[in-house]
Amino acid sequence: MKRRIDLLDEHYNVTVFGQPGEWRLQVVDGEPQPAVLAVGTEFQGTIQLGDQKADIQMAVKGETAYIRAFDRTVTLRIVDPVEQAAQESGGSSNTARAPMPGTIVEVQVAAGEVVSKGQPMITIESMKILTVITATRDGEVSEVHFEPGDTFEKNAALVTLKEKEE
Amino acid sequence: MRRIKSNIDTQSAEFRAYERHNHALMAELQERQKKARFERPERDITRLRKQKKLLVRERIDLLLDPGTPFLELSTLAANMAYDGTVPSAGLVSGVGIVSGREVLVMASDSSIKGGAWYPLTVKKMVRTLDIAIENRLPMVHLVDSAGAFLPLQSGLFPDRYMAGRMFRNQCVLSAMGVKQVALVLGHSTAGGAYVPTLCDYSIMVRRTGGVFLGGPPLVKAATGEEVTADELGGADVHSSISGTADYAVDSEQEGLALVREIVGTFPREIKVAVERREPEEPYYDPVELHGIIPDDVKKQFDMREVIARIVDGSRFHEFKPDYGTTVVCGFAFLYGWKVGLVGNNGVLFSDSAHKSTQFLQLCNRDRVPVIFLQNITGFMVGKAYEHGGITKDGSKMLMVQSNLDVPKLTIMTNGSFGAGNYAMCGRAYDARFLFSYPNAQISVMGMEQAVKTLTQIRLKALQRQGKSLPEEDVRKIYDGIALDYMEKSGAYYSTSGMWDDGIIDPVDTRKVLGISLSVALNRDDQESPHGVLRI
Repeated sequence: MKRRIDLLDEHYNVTVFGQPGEWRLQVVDGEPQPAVLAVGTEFQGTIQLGDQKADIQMAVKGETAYIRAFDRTVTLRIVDPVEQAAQESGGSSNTARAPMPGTIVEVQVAAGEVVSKGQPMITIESMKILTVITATRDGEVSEVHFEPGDTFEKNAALVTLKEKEE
Repeated sequence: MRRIKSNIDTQSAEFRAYERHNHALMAELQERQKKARFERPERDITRLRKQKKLLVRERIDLLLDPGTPFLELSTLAANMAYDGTVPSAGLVSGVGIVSGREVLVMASDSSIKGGAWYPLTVKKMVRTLDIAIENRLPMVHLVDSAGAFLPLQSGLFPDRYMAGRMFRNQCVLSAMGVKQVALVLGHSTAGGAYVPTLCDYSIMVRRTGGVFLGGPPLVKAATGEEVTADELGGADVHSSISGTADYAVDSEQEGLALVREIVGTFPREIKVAVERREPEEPYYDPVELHGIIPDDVKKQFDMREVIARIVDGSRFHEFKPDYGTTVVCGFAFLYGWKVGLVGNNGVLFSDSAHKSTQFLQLCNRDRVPVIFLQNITGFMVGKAYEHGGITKDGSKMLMVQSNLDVPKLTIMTNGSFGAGNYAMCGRAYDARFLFSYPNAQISVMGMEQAVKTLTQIRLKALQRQGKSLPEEDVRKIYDGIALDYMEKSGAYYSTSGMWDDGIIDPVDTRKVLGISLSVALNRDDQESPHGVLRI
């Protein structure tokens, strides 16, 4: 089982192998060490790694786990594997497109404006529904393609954000 | 399964505005429910107290297990009929727990016209018995009704889904092996006499309870025989002479305790084997739904935000997320049971209909119950869409949705217009339960279009007669039509005619769906083997 752990601003590739009761833990390319995790109650237990042994306490809130062991507390964010993989393989598109044909009711942003994820950019009306098109990521508006009162087809580009700088 | 990431800002002006709007709607809903449940003329209460009768809600309270939920159905039935004089259509029905078993309670409210049956009372009773059949729910009947309301008898007696259907449904239930208990707390005359008699167990309260085909006045008129109600068809007569009932008790309290004892001997229904895991509360607070459901039926909202406040852990596996994006399909768990959800995020296109159809086939093959979250203005119109076969694609969705044999549940969250209502499992499509939010609107087309069309027709007719109207009168005609259209598309009108099973506060959606799903899993229809078409 391979996992990537981000701890104190460092990435570690961690591999667990063996079988129940005889787990071995390898951190990056280091020497695999025997590891034992005995969980008592839901939030307390003991951990043994090589010849080091410690009591641990743990609390989980939402996507964040707080773990206390070896006399210090660390905060770990639980990263969903699908989301992590998606993030690493490229972000969302630069262009917000029309989910259905319709008319522009209101334009809330202008070219050059900086927007944050979820910010309303343009309001459209289509088949009696008002829909607010929001930014799918943080960025700067490169172009707004329509003005209020304009009509457009399905999938028309409505607002384009500037290419992400890497 | 991934957690939905909410994009709702609970501090935003929009959220606050929606919240204010919805709080006002909920206050109105509570007020209307309170009136329907508790507001009765003093003389009716006094009359019942003199007869040593309990009020219907006191009876139900003694019947149900303490501290358990009661999902009352169609509380506001008939709220816009009979000038509002027959609250809840004179009948209380709902799903509750008795001696640890889920049962369906159907109780006459004798504080309203002696519990007489109005046309909508009969409709509610038939619907209640349909629910028992569809979900294999044992029934407890609390019988205290004067019988048919004679002035309106033609509206409740002769047709297929009128009074006769109740007794027919009781017989069907019996053949299915679904148990029924009746407690007779008043005089059950004529047709009404069959309700307790068709049950597996019938209990009668001495002095107040009576069962007869013809009451004492009718007997006197027909044969001249003079007889008291008790001698004719009282509790002791039927439990020890005729055998029409099985037990006689001295008080309502004793009768209700006996019902509990009898129900306690029933085997519990075996639930359909749906994928199950440990239940989990939603990560996002359902209370936030008040700031998500908009203050105008025209305003769009993301159905994922609603799903996030209904399902376990707010976790949702979305199916085909980049295809047919105006409909959201996916799997989640509700109180640990796996469910499929189909919710609208805009008008239905061919691709959204295709996605829904494929997803519904998947649910059916894998035995996953489906929840429909309706907010639909209809299918897309226009030349390009007709040429693209929008009607053909909509009919695929209808075909598969209608013939699903896994349980279906529907929530009307906002708008429900035109063929979208059909495709998304509207009332005609046998959802096991269908509930509406107080803001819900339902009509064959949206209000603006319909009212414009109707006004045009009216003006054309006037023109043909050579009349032309000043602008002001045109406006009056328009407003008049609009007012009527708005009232008749509203949730209260809808629930009055029982086009749903009740109006709920959005915050309670999870709980309401949980109880509905639990009882729906009493029955799974025959599996139909089909592969899933990628259409």
